[in-house]
Amino acid sequence: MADALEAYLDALGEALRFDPQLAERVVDEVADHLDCALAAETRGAGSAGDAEAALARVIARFGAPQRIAGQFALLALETNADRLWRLAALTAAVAFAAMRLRELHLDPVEAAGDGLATAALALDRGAFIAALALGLWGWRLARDASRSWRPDPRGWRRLFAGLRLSALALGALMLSVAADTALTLPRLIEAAGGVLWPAAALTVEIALVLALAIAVSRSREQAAAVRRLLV
Amino acid sequence: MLKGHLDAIVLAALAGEPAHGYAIIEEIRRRSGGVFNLPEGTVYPALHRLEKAGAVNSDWTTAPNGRRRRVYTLTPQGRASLDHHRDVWRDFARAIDTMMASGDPGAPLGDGPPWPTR
Repeated sequence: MADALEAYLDALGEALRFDPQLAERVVDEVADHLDCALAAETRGAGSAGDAEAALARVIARFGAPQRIAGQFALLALETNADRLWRLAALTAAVAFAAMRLRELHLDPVEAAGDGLATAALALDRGAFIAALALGLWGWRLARDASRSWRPDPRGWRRLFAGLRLSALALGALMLSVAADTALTLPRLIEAAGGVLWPAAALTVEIALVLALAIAVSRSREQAAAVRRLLV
Repeated sequence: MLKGHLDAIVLAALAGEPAHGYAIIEEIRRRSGGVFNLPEGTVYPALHRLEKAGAVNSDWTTAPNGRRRRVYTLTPQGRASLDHHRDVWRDFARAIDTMMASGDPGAPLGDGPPWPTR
């Protein structure tokens, strides 16, 4: 009988592997719940056969582990998506500030007459605009989906499309930050003074884009779990 | 229909005293006279969602059998949310009652609903 209980808890823990900390907490909570339910169900039960049937009833009443884990995955995705959009807005604002500070405090790129630098400048601006457009589009899709995101095929499609667009926006933003770094670093090294603000902005910009990459990667993992478990 | 009101039902079950998941489900079953026989596993994601929203908080204790037990407590924010859910539900129930009574040929017409109106 204990084997069936352990197998159920193992299956739940496995389905929740997208978040090990959550998995540990939920498995402990559910183990306590099933113990209580089993004690109530087997009160007065005579044989081992009765106890086994009682456990099967308790587990059936609790629900399939994949279904429960899916609801937790959805909750985690919802929470992480909120953080992700806020972080994305902050990163875009800092990236824009970094571009402006470079232009204000360092030698203008155009003045150097360097073709490669001019191309990097165009890439920086173009990729930044693309990141903004893709990010806003993705945010709008995911926001619309979140209004109706208990299993509804259209809502799921919009949510996953929104997350894919956010990943593309992240790619574009990384390209923009890479171009900005390529443009700013040599000028920082050459500049005699006044480099504090552009250097600080560049550092914060890189740190934020890395944090954003981690958040997007977590969201994609959670979305994959939702898709696997619920859709 | 019950699914849409799950958060309110869980908050109402916690209004009396702190409780762990199984006790909350039992309280819901008891207070609804067995009508709300929820799939038990659905209550835990709801509890976690309410905790993230600040409506409940929770702490680990040890159950008599030695297992770790998570006990949930309603927060002031949760109590306010429950009051709001109650108001919304009363208005909704009143409207449904009116609709149902007006469609019932046996119901007296023109006397208004059998409750004080605002």
